[in-house]
Amino acid sequence: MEFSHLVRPRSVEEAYSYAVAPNALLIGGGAWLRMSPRSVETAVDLSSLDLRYIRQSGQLVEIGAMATARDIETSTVPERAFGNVFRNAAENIVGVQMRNIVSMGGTIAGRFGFSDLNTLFLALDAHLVLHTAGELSMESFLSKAPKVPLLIEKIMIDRGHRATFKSVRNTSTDLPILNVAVAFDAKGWRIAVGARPGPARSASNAARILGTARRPGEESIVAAARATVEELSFRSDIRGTAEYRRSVCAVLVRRALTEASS
Amino acid sequence: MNITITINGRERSFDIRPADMLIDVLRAAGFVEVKKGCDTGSCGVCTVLLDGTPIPSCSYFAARADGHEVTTVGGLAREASELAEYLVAEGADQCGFCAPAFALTVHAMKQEISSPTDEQIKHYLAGNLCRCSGYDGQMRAIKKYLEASHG
Repeated sequence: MEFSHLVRPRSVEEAYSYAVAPNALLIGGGAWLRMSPRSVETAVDLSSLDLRYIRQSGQLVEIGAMATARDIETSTVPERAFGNVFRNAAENIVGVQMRNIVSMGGTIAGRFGFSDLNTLFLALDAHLVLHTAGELSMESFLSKAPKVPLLIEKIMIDRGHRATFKSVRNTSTDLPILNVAVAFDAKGWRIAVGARPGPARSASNAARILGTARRPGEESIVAAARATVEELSFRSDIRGTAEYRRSVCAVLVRRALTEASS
Repeated sequence: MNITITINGRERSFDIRPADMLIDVLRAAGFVEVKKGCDTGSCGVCTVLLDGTPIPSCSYFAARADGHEVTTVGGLAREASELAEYLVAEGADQCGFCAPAFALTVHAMKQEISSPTDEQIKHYLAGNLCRCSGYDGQMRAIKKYLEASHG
């Protein structure tokens, strides 16, 4: 990564004014930019903005865009709302050093296929609050790359979810071969699969098999797991073949649903 | 661009390129105890403490350290030497390349978790790769070091 200028705005408004300029790049944690061959004119460092927080606001958990992976791993706010699912999803992201700089806004904005947390955000039906553009669901954001610069201010998740996260990786700190998150709320089940190896996708048809029952039967769980594999696409890369990912996916979805419904 | 960083308690000013990484600025200034390994944030040998928090200096823009405190193992010389005695006694230190970052991460863990379990130690140090030891010796050394630290 190369850039000609780096600016450190003090307000979201100021940051956005830089972001809409030609060939500008917003920097959240900046953790993965080292490896990018990209050259930009202006890098907009968001670290001076007041966006590093995790808090409860009524029925919502609000996560500021500059909250780190380590923040979300250790904060008691998501733990009180969702149990240990955020800890499970964050704790294998490289090492504690990297988790101290990886930001939630940057993780989402990068639409990284390898992201564990994006898969969980998708299952939890997270909504993004964007500067000047209002709210956008994680589902919409991940399914279509934005054409204009989006400045994520915070991520909002309804507290009424029960969720489970599963992944398979070669070693504990490696990127996942596949990850799965499932969540249940009053509207029913959501199944999300990431590291396929593309960005996380939800399997809405498969989730409908489970209905709105808090404790679906074993037959429904097995059927939903099989349907997830049929509904989503998988590819091969250095970490695993598409065939392997399909096999693992069915197992992880079944395990995640069984655990979340127990 | 000009930045000022307090390194191991001493304020230093640098004229850097905007995209310079912290590790490169530190090493060019003589802090060669900050090692360059994978250069992708994965191996942990470039670890420094930023305001007391371990970060990978290879993946952190130097400009962001402006106005902050950076600690290399040189700033924790006495504590690192104490830990090194346990590492040597347990046969856990061979080439020594990972040792500076290892000492810094152990220090950060001590600050964050007063009496870590084996699992917590493994988890906290998972981002510090060592290609020599196999980790068993390191675990023994850390546990004995922590026991001694707590008296």
